[in-house]
Amino acid sequence: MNKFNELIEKLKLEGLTIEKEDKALRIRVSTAEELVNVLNKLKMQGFDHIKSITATDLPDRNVLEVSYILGSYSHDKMYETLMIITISLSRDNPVLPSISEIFPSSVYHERECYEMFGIKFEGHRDQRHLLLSPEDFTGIYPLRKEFKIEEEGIRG
Amino acid sequence: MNILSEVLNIVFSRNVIAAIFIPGLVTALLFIILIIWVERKIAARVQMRIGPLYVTKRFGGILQLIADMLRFLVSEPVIPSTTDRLIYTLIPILLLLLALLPIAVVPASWSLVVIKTELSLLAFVALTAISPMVIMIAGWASNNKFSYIGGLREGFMLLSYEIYLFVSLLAMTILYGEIDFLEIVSSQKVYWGVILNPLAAVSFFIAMLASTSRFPFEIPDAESEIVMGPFTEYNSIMYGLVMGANYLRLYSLSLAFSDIFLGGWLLPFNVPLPNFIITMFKTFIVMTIAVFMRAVYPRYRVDQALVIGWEKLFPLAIISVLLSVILRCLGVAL
Amino acid sequence: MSSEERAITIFYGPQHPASGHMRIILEVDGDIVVKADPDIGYVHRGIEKLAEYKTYLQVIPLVERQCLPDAAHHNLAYILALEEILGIEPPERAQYLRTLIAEISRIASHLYGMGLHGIAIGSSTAYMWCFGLREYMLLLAEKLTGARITYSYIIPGGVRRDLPQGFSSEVERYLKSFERKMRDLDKLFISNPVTKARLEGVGVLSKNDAIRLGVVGPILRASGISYDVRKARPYAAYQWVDFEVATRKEGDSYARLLVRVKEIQESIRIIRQVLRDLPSGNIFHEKYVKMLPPKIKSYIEDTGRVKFPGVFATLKIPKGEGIGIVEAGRGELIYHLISDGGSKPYRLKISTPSFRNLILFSHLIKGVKVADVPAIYLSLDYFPPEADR
Repeated sequence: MNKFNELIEKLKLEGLTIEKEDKALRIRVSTAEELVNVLNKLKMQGFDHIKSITATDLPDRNVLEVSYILGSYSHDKMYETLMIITISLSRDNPVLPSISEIFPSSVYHERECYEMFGIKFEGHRDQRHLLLSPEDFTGIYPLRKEFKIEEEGIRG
Repeated sequence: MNILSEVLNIVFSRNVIAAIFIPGLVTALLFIILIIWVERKIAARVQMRIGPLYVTKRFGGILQLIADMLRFLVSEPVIPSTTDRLIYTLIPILLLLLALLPIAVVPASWSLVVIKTELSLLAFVALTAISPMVIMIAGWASNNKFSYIGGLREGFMLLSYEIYLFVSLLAMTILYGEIDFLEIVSSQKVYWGVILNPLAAVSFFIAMLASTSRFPFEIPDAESEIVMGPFTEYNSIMYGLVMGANYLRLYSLSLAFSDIFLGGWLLPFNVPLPNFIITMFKTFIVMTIAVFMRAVYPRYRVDQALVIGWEKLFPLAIISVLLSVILRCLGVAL
Repeated sequence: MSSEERAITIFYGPQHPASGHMRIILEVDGDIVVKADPDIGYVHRGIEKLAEYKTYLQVIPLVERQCLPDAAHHNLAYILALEEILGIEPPERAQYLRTLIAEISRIASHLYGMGLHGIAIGSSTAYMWCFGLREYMLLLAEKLTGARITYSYIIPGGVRRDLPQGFSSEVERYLKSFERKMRDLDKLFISNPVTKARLEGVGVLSKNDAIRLGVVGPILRASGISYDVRKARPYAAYQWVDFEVATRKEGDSYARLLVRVKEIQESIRIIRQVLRDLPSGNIFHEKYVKMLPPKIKSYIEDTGRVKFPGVFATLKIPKGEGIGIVEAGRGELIYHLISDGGSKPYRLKISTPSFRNLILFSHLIKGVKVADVPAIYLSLDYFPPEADR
């Protein structure tokens, strides 16, 4: 769509490759340094908050895929732009740098990702459990595919 | 025979009848039952609800409070083990006693007064000033952080309203030149106190609201902030006594208000009713206005109540004293 | 004693009349709060994990139960994400009806928040009146959808029921008496001098902080940023109706209350426009209507109620990723749905407005008096089941 072309051109000048989907723009990165690099460049372009951090467990490819969804409040014309950054991590020791210094709005999202998937965020100031109790759920990551919910049958 | 007739004289004398019936214990109990029902019904009608209905359905649930009192009497009082037991259990009784004491000096008609003294207004003010300190002790004895904060707030409120309550009564004393309730009522044969000095009436009414924790000054028992304030840990009959003491305090202050400002049992026209009925009717009207505030106002913060007390109401009370002095110099009253 | 030694720790916990199902750990020095730390998770039900075990249609009632005052928006966001993967657009009449139910739900959600805010600062009259007004909206929703709170009205391809007979005139009657009572509420609660004294200047959120912390909803708009998903990325019928975005500059609790009142007025405007401009047509997508036998097709046309085709029982979605963003009552709501070609969702990530506003607790409730804690906390309209999912 035309309204994103201007932004894509500006970002291409910075050296980022953008895949354009129907309603959002996507950037794929492969290493942690590239992630921090891309986020810093996007922050200078006007993206100023994180809307969501989605982590998906793909056991058949042995990766964890993390998507950061960013948006912008500062510029009127960029209200409708949705930027998604995707990175794949190995499942055995998933470590990511914490972006809570660049974007303070990501603090609670990173805490939840840590307790649900086991992704360690380096440099996060307050990495505690958020929703689940530490006594029952240390070392167990409920949203990974190997954690199965026990279903109870209906009696009678 | 002499001793028996002396005893009968004392038992049926006006003082004892005043102590037991009017304005004493029986009337106080009746008024508490009625005023809580009126408060709940009026607040309910304002809020698009019905209020208490099922107890004595034909009369609109008027005996609801008797049902509540019976429930308080039979439910099990639980005394937490971390409180200071002796003080914790003594506080409700002490509060009830201190709330009943000021009624002893206020008359309900020419002869219906328990203790007849020439300094009755002074005694009244002195006796009403003791309860807040007992409430602070309750906040400390409960050994609970919320009660502690509630007790501190009661102390702050005491500092806020006590002064202008006293000064507005000083204004009326200057105006009438008397400090005895009976003389004050007889000075209002021509004009009532509220017409002569309305500023003092307003100031005393607001001090009454602040003193008995009515909205917008319901600060020590602010339910959404500190659960129940100093009385968080009280339950069953102790809670019933504490709430009863609160309403008794309102009753005694309203009785004083109607004696000082509304002419007591005097009316500009003749009505074939006994005097005490007129006084009790005026007292009930004053109490109804005080409890109606619940349906209208939110509550202030404690520092805002202090600021209002000292910046706005204290100057009002001082101006009412000046007004009294001017009226007295002009020879208006009496 | 220094300030840290004097501070006592208060658990503004779940067993508190004004706290909801969450706990704030307050450190209080005298009457000033030194530190506030939210402790959530008391109503965590694992909705994201449960969604992986249910078929696509069974997830609709599941996601509605997260936020009961505002259930229609969760329903709508999920269906928008699902329709993006399926690649279908519902007919125009269905879009307008989706807008109608969304606005009814938004008014009910705002009244819920305002009522609780009222009772936190002591005005029980505001609480009773707001919940009484909310009853109007629940009755309208019951006439339209058959349920008062969790409607399950929006389905992939359209909506479940058409307007009943005489609905427009009845809505107009309800709205007139609603507006009259809102004027009374304004005189009693919103313009009350005690309310203003309690709420003005309390819990101020500056514009820069609002942007930096990424807050959403009426809180953002009360701090001066006029971001509304209905205008930025229009969905349903919002590109065809005319409304304003309520914004204020002060950023204190009173401004948030006024923004909510203005949004209720704008929602009433939208409802009137929707009922006036409603186009005729189907309420269910052609592709699915074709799959039904003729007897059921005529049933749908006669009664206006949709019956599902057989394929909905184990609906298989092509492989892909879909994002549904709506403006719920409390703010921006994002559903991120990832499908692997099966009949159950592979991953459903929900980013709720209450969760995104959680960062304000430690930021705003610092250095204020203890009596201001409920005034600020309930002006944020934080709903614990929605944040905990």
